[in-house]
Amino acid sequence: MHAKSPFLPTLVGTDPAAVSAANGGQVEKLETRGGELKTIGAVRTPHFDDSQTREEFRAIKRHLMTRIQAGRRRNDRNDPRTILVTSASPRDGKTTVSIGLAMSFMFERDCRVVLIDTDMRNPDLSRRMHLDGELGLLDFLENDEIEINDIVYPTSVRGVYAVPAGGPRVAAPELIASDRMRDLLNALHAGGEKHIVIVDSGSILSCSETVSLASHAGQILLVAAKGQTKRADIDEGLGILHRQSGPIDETRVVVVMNKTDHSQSPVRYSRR
Amino acid sequence: MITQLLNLIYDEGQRLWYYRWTFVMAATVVLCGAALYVLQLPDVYDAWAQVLVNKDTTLAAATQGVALAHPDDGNAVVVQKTLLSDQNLTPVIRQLDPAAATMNDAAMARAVARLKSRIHITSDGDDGFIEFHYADTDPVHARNVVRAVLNAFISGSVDRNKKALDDTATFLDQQIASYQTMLSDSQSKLTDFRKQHPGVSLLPNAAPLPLDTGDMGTTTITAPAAARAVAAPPAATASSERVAQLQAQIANLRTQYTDNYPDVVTARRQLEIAQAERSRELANAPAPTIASGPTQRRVVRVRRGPGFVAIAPDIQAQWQDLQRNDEVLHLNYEQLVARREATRMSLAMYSADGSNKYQVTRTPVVPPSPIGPNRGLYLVLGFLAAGAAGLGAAYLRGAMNGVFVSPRELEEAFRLPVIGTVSWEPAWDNGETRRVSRVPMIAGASLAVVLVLASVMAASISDVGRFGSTVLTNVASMLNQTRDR
Repeated sequence: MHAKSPFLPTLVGTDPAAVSAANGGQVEKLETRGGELKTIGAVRTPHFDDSQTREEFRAIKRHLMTRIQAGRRRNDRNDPRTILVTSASPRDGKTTVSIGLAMSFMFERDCRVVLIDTDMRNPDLSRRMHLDGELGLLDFLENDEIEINDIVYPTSVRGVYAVPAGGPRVAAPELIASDRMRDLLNALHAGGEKHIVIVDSGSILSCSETVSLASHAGQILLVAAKGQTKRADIDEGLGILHRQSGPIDETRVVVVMNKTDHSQSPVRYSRR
Repeated sequence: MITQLLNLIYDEGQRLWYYRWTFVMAATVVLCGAALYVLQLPDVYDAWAQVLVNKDTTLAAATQGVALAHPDDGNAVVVQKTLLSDQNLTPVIRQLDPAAATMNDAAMARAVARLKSRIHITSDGDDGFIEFHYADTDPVHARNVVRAVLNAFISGSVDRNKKALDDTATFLDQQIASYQTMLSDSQSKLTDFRKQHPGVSLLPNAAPLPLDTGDMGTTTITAPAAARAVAAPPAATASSERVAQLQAQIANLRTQYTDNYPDVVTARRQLEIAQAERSRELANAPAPTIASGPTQRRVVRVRRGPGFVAIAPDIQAQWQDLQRNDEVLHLNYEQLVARREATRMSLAMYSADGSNKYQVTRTPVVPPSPIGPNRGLYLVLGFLAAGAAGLGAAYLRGAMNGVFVSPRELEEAFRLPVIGTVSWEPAWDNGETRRVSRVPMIAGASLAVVLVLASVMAASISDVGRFGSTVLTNVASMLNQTRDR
């Protein structure tokens, strides 16, 4: 079973110049340790180096880490290291939060983060990482011949990997709800306590895949955009999740407010 | 508490900020509508006239003290109360409004109320000048209204005074007839008493009775009875006449005014003073001597021919009472007759001089420049209303959408932990979708503003043109009047 493979393609070196070049889009493929010429996912999150933004994501990460430990102590049915990032309506900033969160996890020692793009209607993560068109999740779920290593791409940030959405499929929700998806998640978690999987999904109200993913996720991080996300949409989205993916309570669902003012941030760092 | 309030204000301000374009659109629409409405408001012209209520006409001076005076002619409050009545304004409406003939009572009442609210009467102190103002968008109509009101005022005042004098004369006639009856009865009583007691004929009329304490031909009476008997009747002095005159004046005033009317109060005060003066005179008059002492017996002797005739004191007292009553009745009767003559004189004066009493010092005119509307003020109010409408629309949209502006709101709404916030970084969003979606809105708003500004400018030009044509028309009218003169 491919899902049992704990090894992910890693780059031969960690040449900062090569990574920077990949970030700039000048280098598309680099050689992996396995001798494979692998496409590099470009991780670009402007202003992440801004101290306040970094600290905001760090605060979110700390909460999630605490909840992961608590979930593992409780032996939750779903692995709490699988974090589903979703929202009630589109354009609330799910991909931005996913990338920022991955960048923040990267700072953890021995931490490995795999970003999975499951937004089949708007695969923004794949586009941002210049991985659109590459083999992705749906290809893997549909075709047993494809191995995990074929769809997991290293990125320009060490310890952060990406799984693009893959080609569009009509049966995407069913594929995502399949056991092969669960096996994939288990494989990505295998080999370390801090192997985090961040699933960047579509909005609950527009993508039925999200509901399927929620049944695999140990934690659901609901992103709500300030001044944009409507209360009625969140109500309806939470209702759908509750009915189709199990009870919605504070042990499983947390909320992150996106697009806030700097003045509303609990982090009191000045801008650089 | 204050922190919560500040947080609430901050949150609501942020919520409104998210709907700033709604605010702009609503405010623009309302402002444009208000501007168009204000600019198309017609000009309002104030027609006015001035009348002098002359209290010092030649005839009034000639009949001073003889005719009755009406000090309230020319009082603005009195004029307003009496002139602006339904009874007086209904003919004005019927005269000016062709549709008044088909009006029912309710419509007429509304028209009267409307006319009443638009007529302003001012008085220039105590000089007797009264101004009538009426504002209307049609200057000709305004002038006609003022003219009709002026005519109604003059004719109504004369008629009112005549009616008041007629009422007074009628009242006086009734009183005189009543007094005639009472006088006749009094005379009959005196005659009967004289027949029953012939001796009283020898007593001097209305003079203090001489009292004596002799023992010849006497009738003994007790002291209290004697005290009653010797109570002297009041003499017909000047103060008594003054009292009667004031009583008549009060009676006359009471036919028109209430007890609290200043003139009635003044007359009553004067009456009290006159009564006090009369009492003082009576007290100072020479009183008959009365022997004191409870057991002392007195004898009243009246000279009769060569000797004295003894008359019982109680008979004498009754006789004096009858005489006194007769004199009072006679005095009042004479005063009533005099007042009736004064009333008739006043009626004659109003018939001869009533119109001259009211001099129109300024015929109804309409200044060429309008007095309103105050477009500047209305535009400022429209601006404020536009701001309020914008705020209301933005708030309403925010309330309907139910967006969240703070993590606290989000947490309270769903009872789920908000584990963090991510500050907005414009560079994270390519923004293309937002900018593209705003383009039609901004373009539409800009187009609307341009259209409204153009409309406002056009309306302003039209307004100026209308004002200019009004000025030219008035100038031409003045030139024509000068040439005719």
